[in-house]
Amino acid sequence: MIKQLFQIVGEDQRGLFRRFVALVILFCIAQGVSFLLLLPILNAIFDPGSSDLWIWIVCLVFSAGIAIICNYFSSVIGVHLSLGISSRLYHRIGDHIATLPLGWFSQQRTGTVTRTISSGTDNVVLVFGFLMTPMLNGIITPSVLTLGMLIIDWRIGIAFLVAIPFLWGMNRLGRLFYRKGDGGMDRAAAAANARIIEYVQAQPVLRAYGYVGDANQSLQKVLLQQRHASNRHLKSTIPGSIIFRIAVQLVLLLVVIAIVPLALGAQISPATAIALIAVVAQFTSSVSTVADLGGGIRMARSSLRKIADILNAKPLPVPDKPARPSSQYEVRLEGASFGYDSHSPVIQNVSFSVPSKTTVAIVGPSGSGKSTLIKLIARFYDVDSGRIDFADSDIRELATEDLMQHISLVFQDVYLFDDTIWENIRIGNEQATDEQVLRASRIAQVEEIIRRLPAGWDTNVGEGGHSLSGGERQRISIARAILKNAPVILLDEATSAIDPENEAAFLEGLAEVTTDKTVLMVAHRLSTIQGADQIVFLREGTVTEIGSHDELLKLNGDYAAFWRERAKASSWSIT
Amino acid sequence: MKLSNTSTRIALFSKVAPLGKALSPVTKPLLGATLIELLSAVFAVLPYVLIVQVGNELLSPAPNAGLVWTLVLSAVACLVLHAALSMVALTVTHLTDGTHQWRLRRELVAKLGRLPLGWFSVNNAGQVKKMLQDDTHAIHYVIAHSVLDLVSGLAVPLLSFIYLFTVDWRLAIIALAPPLTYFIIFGVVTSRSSGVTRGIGEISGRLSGRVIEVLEGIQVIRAFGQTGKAHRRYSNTVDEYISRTVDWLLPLSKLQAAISVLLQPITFLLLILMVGTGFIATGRMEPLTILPFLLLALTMGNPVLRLGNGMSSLMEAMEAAQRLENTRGLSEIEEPMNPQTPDAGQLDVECKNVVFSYKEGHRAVDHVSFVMLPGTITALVGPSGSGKSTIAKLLPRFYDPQSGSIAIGGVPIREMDTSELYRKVGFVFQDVRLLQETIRDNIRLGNPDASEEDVVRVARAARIHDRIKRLPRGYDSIVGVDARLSGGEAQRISIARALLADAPIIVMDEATSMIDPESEAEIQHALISLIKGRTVLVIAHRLHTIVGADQILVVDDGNIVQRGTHEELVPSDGLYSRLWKAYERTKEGRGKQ
Repeated sequence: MIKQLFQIVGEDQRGLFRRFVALVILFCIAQGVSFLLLLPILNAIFDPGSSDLWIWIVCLVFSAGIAIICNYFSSVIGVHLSLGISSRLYHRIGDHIATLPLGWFSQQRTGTVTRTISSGTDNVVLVFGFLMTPMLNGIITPSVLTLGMLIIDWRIGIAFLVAIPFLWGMNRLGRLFYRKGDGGMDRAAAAANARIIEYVQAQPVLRAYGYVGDANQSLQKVLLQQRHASNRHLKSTIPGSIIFRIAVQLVLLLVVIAIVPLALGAQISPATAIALIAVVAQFTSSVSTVADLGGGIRMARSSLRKIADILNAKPLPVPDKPARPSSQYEVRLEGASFGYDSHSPVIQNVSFSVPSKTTVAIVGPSGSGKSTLIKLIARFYDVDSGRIDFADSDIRELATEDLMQHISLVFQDVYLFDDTIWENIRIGNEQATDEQVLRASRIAQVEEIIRRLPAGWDTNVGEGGHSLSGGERQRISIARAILKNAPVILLDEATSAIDPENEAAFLEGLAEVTTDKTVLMVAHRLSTIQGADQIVFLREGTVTEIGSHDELLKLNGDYAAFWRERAKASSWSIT
Repeated sequence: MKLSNTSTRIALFSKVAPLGKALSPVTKPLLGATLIELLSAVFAVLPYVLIVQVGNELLSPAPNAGLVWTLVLSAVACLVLHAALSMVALTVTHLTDGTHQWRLRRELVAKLGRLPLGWFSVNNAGQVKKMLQDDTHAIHYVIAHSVLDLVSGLAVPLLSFIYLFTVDWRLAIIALAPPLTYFIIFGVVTSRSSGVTRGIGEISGRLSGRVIEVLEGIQVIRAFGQTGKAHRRYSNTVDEYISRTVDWLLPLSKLQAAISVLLQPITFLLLILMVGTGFIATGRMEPLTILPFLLLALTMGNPVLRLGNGMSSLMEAMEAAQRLENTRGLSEIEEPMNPQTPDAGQLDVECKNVVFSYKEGHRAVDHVSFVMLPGTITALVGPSGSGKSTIAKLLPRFYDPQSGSIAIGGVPIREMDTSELYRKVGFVFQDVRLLQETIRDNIRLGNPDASEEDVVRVARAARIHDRIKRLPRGYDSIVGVDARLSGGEAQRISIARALLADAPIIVMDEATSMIDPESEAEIQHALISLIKGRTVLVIAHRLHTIVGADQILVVDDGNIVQRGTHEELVPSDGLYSRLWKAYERTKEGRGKQ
């Protein structure tokens, strides 16, 4: 773990880190020596004739003084280190994620990564504040005491030497028991919780049919099972939490039992015997503090691992000498294949091209890879084989900024910054004049949203834009795209995000943004599909049909069947 | 970290009450466990007292070997008792906790079943999740572990101190000085720095906001070339966070380092040996007196750290208890004292002057009145946010209106048992949720006594029978285990369920069929079978779907602004004709004429 920590510590702080560790080690040694000094001091106390007492006391003051000073400075340095490391970690993570491919930022992942960054760094920092010193203390102080004992009286020394692995083993054993017990309980609790969450989510239907509270017998059964499980696991939990405490006291007693005959037989002085007992007490207590730290150490270790995972994520490869995109904004796929993992390809050997200023609609059953295909063009991921050309260059040969500058993404999960609607639209083009922003907002029907909001343009959209509806957010993203005015539009026509009431508004905005542009879209609306220059039908990641609407209808294959079904559904009336 | 944890200690007392309440059902067993643990603490200290006696005996001119061994063996016996008692105490707390957790979850389940359906938004479901996972765990920890940890953490040093005080009160008080000094300085420092702690809390909140922004907004950041700007916002916040923390922590860190030295065993050793030998040299103390101090006083600083741990878990439990208490306090749906049942024959629905607002000041539904005759279809149309969905959700009592009344067959819905209400009113909304049970049981939820033929009949009517037959175990497949269904398929199961329940009145959202474009037609067929012959209230988004409705209610800003049939409304100049024109303008709308 110290090695892992050393890697996280920045170059400029390695010196400080070394000094910190050295001070802690020195503290532990000085402390061990101070405790060993108990032997001569007690002997001198109980030997009225001895004149050595004050010499030993001076030695003690000296060694204890060193220990105390080291402890003080190591604490102060620990704080400096913590702050330095936390700052560095935040910056390193920030710098690194800026280089990662967009595909890395999946929704679940961003949740866990957020947690890792905020609480994980805290946990790592905690290591210097509260874990490192007691940890090293639990290892070094007993070693010093054992070494001292071996020199003073080898028999007791051997007892110490045996005690270390014994205590360590007992600690492991206890933890094993405990974890097994607590794990079982956690599982039972998790099962019960899952059922309660289901109960919450299905509340309308359960309510409708009267399965609430005690009447929901299957839920009550799970709850009761959890109760039994927790009682059952008591058996292993209790010994687990107490085994180590017993072991520690056992060691203490065994040493006492070993010392007593020696003292009774006058092989060692009574003063030595008592001093030895005090030293053993100290020995066991520093070992037990390590046991108490187990939880903290595990937490820090898992945080370290998670942080390392983020820092080790592979950045998007960027070319050394990026190619320049030509002014012919054509998108061409040649034998493109891609899978999120190696054994299940999502896109297989897809080839087609979107000539400049034409529109291609991708249609197909859900799960056929439509959205993935669009994302490949924006380089969320790189293809596993084949290639994707953008304006006559492989997209992997283009600088990320060059590619992004020429593309507008209009997706269903639009992120809005915790800022006003005005600022969120202006992101599309920082240089835009107020008139341009207003015009884009009018075309994208954002003005209509503004009119309804009490604070108008100054309305803060909340974190992630969650105070607006999906349709409203998508309209803002269209306004952004209008402002950006990029030559290529990648569009994922959402079904869920659009309020049917606003469909007209949405379509008008869309028409404006796509005029004279190269457009590649995942389309659901029959009108948009029908109006496309080319339609690509995707099934299980491969292109089965390609052509214009009329051509494909004549073909009477996948597309024609799809079209008939959708046309029937869209003329539905409930009456 | 420890500093900021303990600084919240000031607010501790205001938070104790909910925790006290949460723990009140377990006070007695916890008290019992505490007493056992106290006894166990006595047996933890006693061996050291006995060992001191061993020392005394060994130092006497003629040690009595028999007595020495008796003392040593008594010490062993004490330790065994100590361990046994601890185990008993832990068993008691764990058993108590098991029962308490069970009760807590049952209570929560019962409470949730009495809340208005409107409460169960996505947000609140997450809150329940948090309560179940984190809060019950925090309370588990307090009951099963923390209480005993605190008792032994306090009792052992306290008993040691009492014993040492009887041995030599002067040296005992000197041994007490370091932890006391620590507490005093610590208290002063934390009470002075609470403002700064809040400041740090505020900026650390802002920092996690930036982290979320960088992660979730990355697509937008890249797409619009904002990488530099967003990255700067992030690093500036990091720098501010660090520099604020430095300003606060560094001056304190020296003091903190200095006072934590006070708790080190080495400090006690130095203090006791220096003062002790001084006392002995000046004849104020017997040499023997120093022994118990060397055995018992050195670790007096340790419990302070353990107390810190116990405190922070107590603190968590207090917040958890507060949230549980808040949930207990949520207002429940009112059940009538003398429930009434409408006659089976005349099930017309009448809304009279209904007013409802989600929050003070804005009426989502404003004096709405309408009548639905048995067997007719009523459609609610209007712009998004007009209140049409809210009106529809008042009928199955997702919310209760603040004034006005809704009656079925002349009986106000508030005067009906909720179970009776749901036998009369069924609903199909966009969010479906199937239970993790067999497909059959999921359908049978609508009517537990239904025969196999009935289940199959409704599954066929809902156009899902063939799909179920294709599952590995047919109707016995378990949802989420061997029946992985798409949104549209789940929706059709829920329609089958509603068919089986056979409620005469149906509230539905027309957009239900849009959740899955690939199976839209199938869902539509299922919905048609559901509404046949029933009284229907439908929230309509696409106007062509309801042109044939018996009655169209046009909603704007919580009011019904127009009502009539499609034929009546189109020619009249009003919101409906505007909506219809806008709708027609989309090619989609025109496509179906």
